Amino acid sequence: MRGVSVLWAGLFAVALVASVLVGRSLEVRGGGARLPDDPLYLPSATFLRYASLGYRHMLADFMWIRATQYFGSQLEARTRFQGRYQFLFPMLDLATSLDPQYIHAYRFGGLLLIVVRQYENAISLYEKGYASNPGRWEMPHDLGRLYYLDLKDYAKALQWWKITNELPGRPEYIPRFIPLLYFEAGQREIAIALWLEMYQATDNALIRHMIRGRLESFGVKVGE
Amino acid sequence: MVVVKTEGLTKEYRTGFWRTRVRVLHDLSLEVQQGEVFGYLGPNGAGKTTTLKLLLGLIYPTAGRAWILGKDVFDVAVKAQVGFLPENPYFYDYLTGREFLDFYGHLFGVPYRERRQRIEALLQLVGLGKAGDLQLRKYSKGMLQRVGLAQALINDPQLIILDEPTSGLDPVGRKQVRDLILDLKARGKTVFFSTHIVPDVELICDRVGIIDGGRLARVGSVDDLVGSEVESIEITVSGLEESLWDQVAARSIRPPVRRAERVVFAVKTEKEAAQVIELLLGRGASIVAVQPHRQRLEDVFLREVAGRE
Amino acid sequence: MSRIWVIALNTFKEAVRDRILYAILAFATAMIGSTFVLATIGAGSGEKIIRDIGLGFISLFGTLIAIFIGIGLVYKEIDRRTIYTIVSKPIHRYQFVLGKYLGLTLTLFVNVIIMTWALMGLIYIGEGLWDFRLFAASGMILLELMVITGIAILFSAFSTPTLSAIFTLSLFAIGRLLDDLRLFGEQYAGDVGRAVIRAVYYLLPNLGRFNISGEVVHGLPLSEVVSPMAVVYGFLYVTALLALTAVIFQNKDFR
Repeated sequence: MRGVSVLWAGLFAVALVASVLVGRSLEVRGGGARLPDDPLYLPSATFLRYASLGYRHMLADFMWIRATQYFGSQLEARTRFQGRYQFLFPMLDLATSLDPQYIHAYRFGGLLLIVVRQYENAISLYEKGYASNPGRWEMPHDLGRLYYLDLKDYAKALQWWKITNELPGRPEYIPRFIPLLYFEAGQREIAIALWLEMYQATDNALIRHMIRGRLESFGVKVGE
Repeated sequence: MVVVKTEGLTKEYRTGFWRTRVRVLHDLSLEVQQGEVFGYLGPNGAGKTTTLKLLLGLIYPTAGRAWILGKDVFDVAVKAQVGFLPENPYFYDYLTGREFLDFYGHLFGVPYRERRQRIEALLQLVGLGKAGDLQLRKYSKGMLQRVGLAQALINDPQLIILDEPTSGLDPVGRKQVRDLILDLKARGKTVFFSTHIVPDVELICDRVGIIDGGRLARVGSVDDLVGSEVESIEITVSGLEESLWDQVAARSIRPPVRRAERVVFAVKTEKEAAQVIELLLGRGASIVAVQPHRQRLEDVFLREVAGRE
Repeated sequence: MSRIWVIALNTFKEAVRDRILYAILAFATAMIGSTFVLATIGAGSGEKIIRDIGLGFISLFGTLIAIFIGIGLVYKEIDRRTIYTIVSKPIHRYQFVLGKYLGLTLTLFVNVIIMTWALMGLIYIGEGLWDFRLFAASGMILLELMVITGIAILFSAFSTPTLSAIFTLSLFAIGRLLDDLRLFGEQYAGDVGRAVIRAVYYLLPNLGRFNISGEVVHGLPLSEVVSPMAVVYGFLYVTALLALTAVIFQNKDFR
């Protein structure tokens, strides 16, 4: 029955080639208004939480990777289309809903949002991170930084960095910035008082030198 | 000593959608004596396998009791003295012959060194010496049957129970099994086996139990069942005149048969035989052979079974 | 006792010689290897990703093995009638059940160990350190697998493989979502409903209690994450499942 086998083999080859050709034509036709990486539909966090059957941390990781890929593809696509990054925050929100302790996603995701100037979303994300992880210094720290550097809202920055200051493991430059923030927020007296305190508390010659310089620029003379 | 005893053993199943009760064993009472070979004979579906399963604790009786070696069959310890080969056995086909026997030996609690010795001896005994390291999935049906027999003997049991041990075997295989059973008897063991093949029973059994429709019809030694009466006498004659043919046919209990230049026929009693022989001799025929036939077990069996329908 | 061990060892042998097991194991190891790739595009989250996905796959494939071999443990023996030559030996029926269960548990144990070491090897290659905390997560995964196996063998004793698979998978899903389901149910139920839900909640296996992988990966201290009571719960539940299986198996007629 070799003759019959050859026929079937031939059919297989023809069908395969035809399907490849048809597939390629579909590819060219598609695209259009949709950017290649836009998710058409993001399931809700609750649904995924159930559907993941306890494997939610893994899903959060996938969602995080997806978010970064989305960012990257939107970045690339900017030259051809108007990349609007509208799904960036939803994806990050989903990833962090699935795994509320995903510190890295809050931090890096927040940075991405800042880069594309979605400040409200960034604040939203950071605050969510803080609510879920009140013992971590990273969240209030990043919020403070956001207010200070990008939004120039020194009062808020000060508020968040005061919180950061109390948390374990916080970077050692935080306490040095507190007086500066007081100053920028218009509370000179407190700022100067804090600096003086710091000046007396430390032996470090370099730090003392820096503080003296700063105080003198405000017209405050420090004794030896 | 009584090795196997059942009293009023009854088994009902609930089958079908309506869970109707079907009784497959009625009030079975029998005994098997130490050292005898007991043939449990019955047509398919008679309840032979059910009886064996009840004895081995594979199923539970609806009523009645059973004992092996004086202990209730539910006593797990008594099974250390029993070897069992089921019908059409299935085994773990991923094991080799040796591993297979080792597994069962271990299950019996046979110590390691003794296990190894017995495994080798048994493999030789059942003719599987060369196939010991082959996986069971590569065994033929006959080989599976033989390794199954080996498994039934791994613990050197006092009682061996076999379910249809010769079914599906060719005549050589059947003879080998029969010889094995006789060998076991010679070693003082008791063998209880079920079958529907009458000649096997006739050839080696001390006692027979005929079961049909879930009831024990007859029990006794082969001789008792068959009786010592002569049932018919077969006469072989040569040189028979054509004219005598009808007379011979009239006396014969079955139609005479021509074989070359001889004629074979049968009469019922010795007296009739004497008469016919005298007649034939008088007319110049020669008597080649006179053969008395007793009843065969098969006849007894068929009669018992036919009576039920 | 050694009779149980004989059966267990035999079950282990059967599983090890089953080629499907190797396919799953190879697939799982390949999956874990692919997490390496995922980690490089993880934008800084690589360490978490390797561990999350690695442990996730160990759990997932372990569950598949537990269910799909477990549902056949007793059923296959009855269906293929290999059970005849075993039950007719001087062995209690419960010893057979225990032996089969232990054999599969042993198989799962070996699988989990191998895959965990593979994961740890990957982490060593990528980060230069041995993360022994993963064994705590693996241990709890194994405990969860033991419960799942118990469920599978229970169904195996009286149900066909298809039904057993459906029931066991369902119980697995329910077991993992039990806490959420309870909250969800209590929101909408009346007083009677709530009592029923609570009763059912306690009877069903709460598998979420064994799911500590996320916390282990997040770096939380093991003393906070590993709950000895959860371990006790696991063993008690397994005991209950096996006891029920023994009862069913003891009263079975092998037709």
